[in-house]
Amino acid sequence: MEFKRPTALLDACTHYCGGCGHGIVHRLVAEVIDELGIRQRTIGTAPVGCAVLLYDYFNCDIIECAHGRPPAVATGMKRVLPDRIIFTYQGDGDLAAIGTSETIHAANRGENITTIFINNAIYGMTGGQMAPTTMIGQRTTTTQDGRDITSEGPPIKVCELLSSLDGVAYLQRVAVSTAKDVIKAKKAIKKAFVNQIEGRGYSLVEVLSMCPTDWKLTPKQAVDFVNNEMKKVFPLGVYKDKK
Amino acid sequence: MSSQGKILLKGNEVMSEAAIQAGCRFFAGYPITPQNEVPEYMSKRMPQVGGTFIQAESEIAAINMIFGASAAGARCMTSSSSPGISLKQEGISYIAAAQLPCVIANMQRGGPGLGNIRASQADYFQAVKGGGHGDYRLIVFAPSTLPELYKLTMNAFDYADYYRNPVMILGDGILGQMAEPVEILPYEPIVELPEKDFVLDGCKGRKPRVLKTLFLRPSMALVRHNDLLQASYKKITAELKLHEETETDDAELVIAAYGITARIAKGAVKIARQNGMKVGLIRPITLWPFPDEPFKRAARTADRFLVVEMSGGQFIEDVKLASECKKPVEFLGSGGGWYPTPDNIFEKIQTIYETEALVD
Amino acid sequence: MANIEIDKERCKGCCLCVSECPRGNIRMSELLNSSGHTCAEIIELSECNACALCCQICPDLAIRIHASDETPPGPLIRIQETGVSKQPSGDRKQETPIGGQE
Repeated sequence: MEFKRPTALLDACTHYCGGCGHGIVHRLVAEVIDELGIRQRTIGTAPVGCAVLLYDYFNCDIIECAHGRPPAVATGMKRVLPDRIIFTYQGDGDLAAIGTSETIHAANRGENITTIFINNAIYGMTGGQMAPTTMIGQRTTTTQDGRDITSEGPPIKVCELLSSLDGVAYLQRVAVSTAKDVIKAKKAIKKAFVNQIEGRGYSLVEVLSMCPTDWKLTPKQAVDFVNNEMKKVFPLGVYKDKK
Repeated sequence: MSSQGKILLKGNEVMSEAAIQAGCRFFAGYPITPQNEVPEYMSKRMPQVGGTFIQAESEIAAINMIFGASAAGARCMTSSSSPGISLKQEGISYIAAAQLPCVIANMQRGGPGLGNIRASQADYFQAVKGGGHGDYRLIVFAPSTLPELYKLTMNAFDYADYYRNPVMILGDGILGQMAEPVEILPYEPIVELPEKDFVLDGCKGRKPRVLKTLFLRPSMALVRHNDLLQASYKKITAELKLHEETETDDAELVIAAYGITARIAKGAVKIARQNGMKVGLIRPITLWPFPDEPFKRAARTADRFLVVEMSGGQFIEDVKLASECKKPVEFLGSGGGWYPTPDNIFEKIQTIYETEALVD
Repeated sequence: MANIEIDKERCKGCCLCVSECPRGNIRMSELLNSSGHTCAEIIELSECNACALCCQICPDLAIRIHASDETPPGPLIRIQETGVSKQPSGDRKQETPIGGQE
């Protein structure tokens, strides 16, 4: 058994808080890039949000985009360079609030790109405001008595939403809150990249991830929150796998 | 494609064909009147030349597709009209900040708000002073005929690549919708094109590249990046001021107008000359950088300026700045779809002559 | 015995590995690293069977397992039950014991 740093990650300590799930997902994406031998033809897009500094961690070409626009930027890149591997790495605000339109239409066009969607049910970088995926009753700095379905509506379930689009090739929701979940998450991410290599179209992996700082929980409590609360609202599983 | 002789095309089609000739191989746009012929033409032509046409879901998506396509190394273009250009401003700021080349066309219509679909020049400030956030500049071309629209569109791609800066074609509904015989001349680069050493195409054989507009660390990184941008703008300002003068040598009254309005003003100059009035015309071809020299010169030799524009008065501010307010500047203009005829302008000239006693 | 090590300079003290270890063989050290985080440490190296579940959950890639015949690289610190067996090399700061004593 050997476990070491993937070459698709630079040898840098991340700026993420202790117990944040981003670091795990970064490693999984990098391991997949290594295993598929595609680092030198991969271009990643950095979102706005905590992962904006993704370009400091990945050892491949990276373009940093305006908030919510990675699917459009990735569309432009992929159409110009169809033999390169383009992935977007987006948070819940980026993908499901400000960039909902870009997400839905890139997915519906069946753009042959891979999207890694980090759902931590909160806005991390700006300090814990409500996300489109914030759960009913969840307290954030802009829903201080908890998200109220009558005024804020229920959380958006991205995999369920996108599963109705014929252009989408693959949708799976995973988590990184236990080691077992992490291993499953990697399989899903790998499939989403392999789909692109095989030209199957838009693939998205939604990752339920921890944000202990803005949830105001310890890392251990944050893991429990994903396992006990988030997985109930956002059930794990494959939502689409177009043959 | 070699020269086909003159063919009759609408302005929007002329611009689109010029882009194709210049090697533009990626177009993303969203329909809006009066520029719909651009995406329609591109949807037909791009597949013929192996390029990509995308009807985007919004202007915002379209400009961000351009951001991606330019980063991937393609010559690329988007077009719209006023309200749509407002939507693109976020993306334009990012593209300018990342120093990516691209061409953006604005076939202006009446505003503000939804306005109407008649021609207008009311987006001058937005184009020339920076419509999006931050300290950036667009190179802005203002063609006044369709042959010039054809030529400047080709040049726009070269200058965008040469200066690594977005270029805007600032037209209007008249220019986009009118038809005129245009010779489809083959493309020749107007400048020596630099190697695109910024392109993200995978890091094979080189270190990974990052294209970004966020500069957090070290603390002065964004200041340094802004200094770099300003140095580029200084170079462009020194090298790329274009204008045309008509009968200004002995002019007592110098009309200042750009784009389609300048073309109309030329007719008024002719009428005035036939009536013994010494009237000339300065027509900026680049609106940024602004050709201030001819206005400085005219401020020494002429008695008065007359600005004609299809807005309530935007371009006039730059004319006053360039002429250093040394001579009075009269104004003829209105927004919302008003356009002058040569007779309108000549009437204004007559009024000026009658009331201001230009001839000594 | 697994050739496992925890890079205490990368550890942010989130403790996820502690609860993930099926043998309860990871604990939080009383040492702080140069960023001020308490760090995880293997309690008994001989008890580790290199299942790598701690590596899977670690958000900071601070835990590595080397092939059994491989010598760990310089800057990593192997923490054993007796404490730090190998001093950090290069420009890394020395660990600061809580309360000023080990």
